[in-house]
Formats: sequence, C-alpha cells, structure tokens
Amino acid sequence: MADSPEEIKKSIKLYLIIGGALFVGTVLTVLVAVVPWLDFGAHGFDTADLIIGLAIATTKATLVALIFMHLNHEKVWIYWLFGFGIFFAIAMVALIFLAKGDPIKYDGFDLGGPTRAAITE
Amino acid sequence: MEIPFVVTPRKDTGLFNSKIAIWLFLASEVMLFGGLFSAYVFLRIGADYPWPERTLPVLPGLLNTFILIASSVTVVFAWAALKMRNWRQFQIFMGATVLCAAVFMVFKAIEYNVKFHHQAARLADYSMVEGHIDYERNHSEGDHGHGGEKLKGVDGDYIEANRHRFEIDEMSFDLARYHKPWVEMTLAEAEAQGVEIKLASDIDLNRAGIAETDPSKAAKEGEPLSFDLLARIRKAHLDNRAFNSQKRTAFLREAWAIKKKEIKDEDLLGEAAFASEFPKAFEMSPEDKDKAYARWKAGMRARMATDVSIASVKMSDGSSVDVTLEGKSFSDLELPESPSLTFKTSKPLLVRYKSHDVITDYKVGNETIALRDGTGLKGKYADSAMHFHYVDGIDFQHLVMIAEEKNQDPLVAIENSWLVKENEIVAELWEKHQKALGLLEEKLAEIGKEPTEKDRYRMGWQEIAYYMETPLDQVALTASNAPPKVTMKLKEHFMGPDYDVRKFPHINVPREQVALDSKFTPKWNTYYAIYFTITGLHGLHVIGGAIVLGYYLFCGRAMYLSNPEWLANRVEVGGLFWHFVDLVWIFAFPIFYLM
Repeated sequence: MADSPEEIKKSIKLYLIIGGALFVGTVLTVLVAVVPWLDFGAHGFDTADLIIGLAIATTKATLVALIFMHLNHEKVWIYWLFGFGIFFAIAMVALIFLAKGDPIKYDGFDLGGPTRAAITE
Repeated sequence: MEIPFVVTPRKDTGLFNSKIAIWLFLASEVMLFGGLFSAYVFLRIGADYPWPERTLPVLPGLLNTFILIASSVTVVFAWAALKMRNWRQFQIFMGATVLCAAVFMVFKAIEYNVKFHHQAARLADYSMVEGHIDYERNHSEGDHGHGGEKLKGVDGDYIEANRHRFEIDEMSFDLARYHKPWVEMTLAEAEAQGVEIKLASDIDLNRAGIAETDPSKAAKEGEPLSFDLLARIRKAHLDNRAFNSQKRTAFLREAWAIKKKEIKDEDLLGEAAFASEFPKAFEMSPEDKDKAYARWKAGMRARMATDVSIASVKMSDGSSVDVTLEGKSFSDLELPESPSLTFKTSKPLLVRYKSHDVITDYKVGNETIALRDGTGLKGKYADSAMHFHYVDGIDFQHLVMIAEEKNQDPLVAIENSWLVKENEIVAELWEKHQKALGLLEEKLAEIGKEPTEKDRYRMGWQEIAYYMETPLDQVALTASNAPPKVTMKLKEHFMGPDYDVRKFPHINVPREQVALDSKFTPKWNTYYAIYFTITGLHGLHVIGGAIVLGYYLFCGRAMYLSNPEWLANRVEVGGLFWHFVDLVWIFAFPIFYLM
C-alpha cells in the first residue's frame, strides 16, 4: 500500500483514473439498459442484459475493492478475513438451491423478452 | 494508558488494530447484504405476479451513483491529504464527502416521499390502477367530479378518498385491545356530526356476597362513550377475570385430586387393569410388555383427562361427583366478565377507516365490519369508492398472467376487464396503445425482435399522457422507433408527472372492485418490500458513515496536532467503510433501477 508521501502523490492520479472509470462504467450500464440500439439479446430486459449489467457492476466493484480499498496490495490476514466473508455468503445461499422437496422454481423466472409470442399469433 | 498498535503495526499481522477490526466488520456486512440480495433473487424467482421491471426513475438513481462514486474519490483524497500532513486539503475533501452523503440522502428522501404518496389499487380482475388519489370533497353524494372543496378530517388533515366509509349504528369495543386513537377519532367525529354514542344496555360486574360491591364496576344504559367508562369497565373485567382464573385453578386442582384418588384406590392404571384389558400383552417378551403397558397408561391418562372438569368429575363406574370447595361450586363463586362493551349511536355516525384497518372483506350491503383492534361495527357502508384524481398507470400484466393460467385469450380478458368496459377513456387509451403496439411490433420484427410483456400490457404515465393529448390517427412511434410517450421534464424525473401540465383520466373505482389498495410501500408487493429493505439499510449505512467521517472532520483537529498518523489510520478505516457503502450501491442501482 502506498504509505510514503511520495508514493501517495503518485497514487492520486490512479485514484482519479479509477473514479473516471467508475463514472464511465455507470453511464455504460444505464445506456445498455435504456438505449434501444444498445439493447442486447431480446427487446427489453432479458438474460443478456442481466449478464451485462452484473458484469459491469462486478467490474466496478472490483476496481473499488482493489484500488480504493487497497486490496491490490494488502496483508494476507485481510485476504483471509474478507475471502471467508464472501465465500460463506455465497456458500450459504447456494445451500438453498439444494432443496429438492419444494425446489426453487427456475421456470417461474420470467426475465422479460418475447416469452408469450403465442398470444399474438 | 497508551493503546498499543494504533499507529505501529502488530508484528504477527502486520496491521494496526482497527484495520483488522474494520475488515472483520466488512466481512460480516458482506454476509448481511449478501443475504438480502439473495432474498431479492428468491423473491423475484418465486414471485407469483409480474415483477416490476425498470419501474423506478433512472435519473435520481444515476445521480446518486455519481455522488457516491465522487465521495469515494474524495474520501481517499482526504486520507491522502492527511498522510501528506495537509490539514486544509483534508478538510476540503472530507467536507465534500460528507456533503455528498447529505445530497444522496436528500435524493433518497425525495424518491421515498414520491412512493409514499403514489396510490395503487389491484382490482378484482387483477388489472392495476396507479395514480394520485383525490381528497374527499364537499360535493353531493354520487357526484365525483373534480369540483368541490377539499374536506378536512377531525385531525385537521385533508381526507384521502381511499377510505372505507361506514355509517355506524352500533359499535362494540374489545376492552382488552381497543386502539385509543380510533376511539378519540370516533368521539371527535361524533362531536363534529352532533351524534351521541351511548351505552347500549346496563352493565354490572358486581356479584353480591362474592366480592365487595364496587359502584365503579357498573354502568347504566345511556351512559355516554368516554375513555373513563371504557377504562373503568376494562379494569373491572380484568380484575374479575383474574379472580375467576384463580378460582378455576383451585377447582381444577380439586377435581384432579378426586380423580387421582379414584385411580389410586381402584388401581385403575395398575398391571391388573392392563392385564384384564390386554391379556395378550403378557405373552410378549417382558420388554415389549413393559412398553405396551407404558403406552396404555399414557393413553388412559389422556382419556381420563376428559372426565375432569371444573364442575364435576366423571368416575369410572359412570357416576359423577360434583367439585366443591368449602361447600361451594365454581359457578357459585364466579364473577361476571365482559370482554366487550357495546354502544349505540343516536343517528348514523360516518367514520372513515384505512383499508388495512378493516379486517373484514368488503361486500356490497355489508352490515357488520370488524377493525384490527377487535372493534365490531354495525351499520352500513357509505359510498367508499376510491377516487383517482389522476390515473398515471394502467397495468394489465397481472390480469394477462391470470388469464393465461386459465387458458383464456389475454386480449379478450383485457377487453372484458372492468377498466376497459366501464371507462370510456381507458377504452380509448387502450385502443391507442394497441395501435402503438402494432407499429412497435412491425419495427421490431424488422430486426427479429418482439415487444416485451411490459410494452404490451402496461401503460405508464408517459404513455398515458401522450395518448391523452394525441388523437388515435396521429399515434406514432418516436423518431428512434421507441414506443410513443411524452418527454420527461427534469423535475418529473424526480417528482413524477407534473399534474398541472399533463392530462390524465379521473377514475372512481367502486370499493367492490378493489382487491388490494396501497401506496407504493412494502404492503404493495415483494418488489417494494425488498426495495425498501435494501435501499433503507443502505441509507442507514450512508448516515452512519457520514456521522463517523463528519466526526473526524469537525473533531479531529486535536488528534491531528498530537498524533496525525493515528488520525490518518482512523480516516483510512472510516474510508474503507465508506467504499463498502459505495460497493453495495454499485449492485443495488442496476438491480433495482435497470433490471
């Protein structure tokens, strides 16, 4: 982590660049959602938009964590602590998907798009 | 005492103390928000209604995202300024961070406020009406135009025209549960309307010879409704009930003593009794016989329990023994109880209740209703239609979903819906929408795409405003081939439609057509429930973070002068929390506003 005043001075430019990247990422997320010719997959919100939206969000979150939160060069203790947090959050939620008796109904997940084409035929 | 490792790192971890602490806390926060986001996923997957997609105004959410990103940059600059021992710069950047937090919360408050004042109703046929609810006005009954002066309620506020209006002839209060503000409101209404509310019949919770006669335990028919009267009879009722409970316990003990004596004297649960009933059990192995015997005894005890009551005990020979204490039975000692108190009105008293306070379903001609606090009302419903002053959303998506489940043609179902059938303006809007949809289908077909469910079956406020001002033959797609709608003005992005400029239909929905009515709050659906949960918790984090960072800004000077590195470390830790708050929003924004 940048600790000496000289190193910190150097880092400031990086912080600005990352801030700019976050702004750009946010604008991109919105454009993909609202501009018709940037609408990937089917018309309107669908799985493609979900994946793109979450991919941009994850990239932004990674930048914040790595640069602003200094996770790009942190002590090993921090990696373990935070890693465990994320691992258990995901693992515990994943357990729910193991339900077989009254399973999560994937077919009910209507992500929009032209799922009811038959209506208009 | 000096606290170790606030500036210098510990040898084993290489970190100063508070850094370990904040990361531990952030790890727990990851699990907390992870749990809430997974709740969102499960609610969306399992929703039995069309999930509202891209329903929130994007601009306020987008600006808030910019604000949080900017604050993440300024907080790291504030830390850098401290590291370089530049107090003035620290003040500027930390001040900017706290300011960003304040602006974020202002936008959030505006957004919430709009939701709290936006009315929705799900009709019996599952079509949805959204809009701005009117206030009650002083025009004559049955005339529900825009005219008339707004009426104020007894509390001094305008009365929203979404209430259950009931004319009360008789009301019965649950003495243990009645809700004081509602009684106050009833008394105020009675005074305003010149109605007297009087006790329906004599009540006397005394019983001569058992307890000392107390005049406060009695009231005469015709005594006016007052808190004093309710409190007095409530106390008498609860005292008597406590007295009776004690007696009941004593008599029950006595009854069991009689039964237990019989069991012992007659050896009703003995092995001999068991043998006479199940001789075959004695042919089993001793272990099995013991198990069977234990089961038989448990069963017998359970059956005998039904022989025992406060008044009498049924004996095994069929005879009955009365239970008495000092020669008296329970009914000789029991004091009268009165769980409720009934009043009559001198003439019908009009009182208004919010729909979630009335627990009985609305039916035409209903003569009794019950309130959440156990109050029962007799009388009749006055006109309780919901008056939408401006309808700025009509949504048939749920109706279509239900129609498809029943294998019905969705378009026929919409044509037959109450809204389209009963309201000419809605029918016109729907016709224009069908035309626009046809144009959209054509355009999308050129690139191999189709309109979404939302395009097909929902008319939002921009579409309705457009259809209201555009004749059918002029309905056309926008220049970019998007569905036709009016362009939002800046203020409308934040506050919703400008009702002074836009035209919207006015619709009165009779109460029998309303299946559920709510503002856009958690009551409305799981989407708004989880929206308020996650954004609300996030908002609390913004406030908490701003308080801590504001403390460093305004109270950190002394520490800066004595030990600047310690303050820098504290700001770093506060900043880590602040970045996490930004991180949560990075996911919350697209999930709630764009998906």
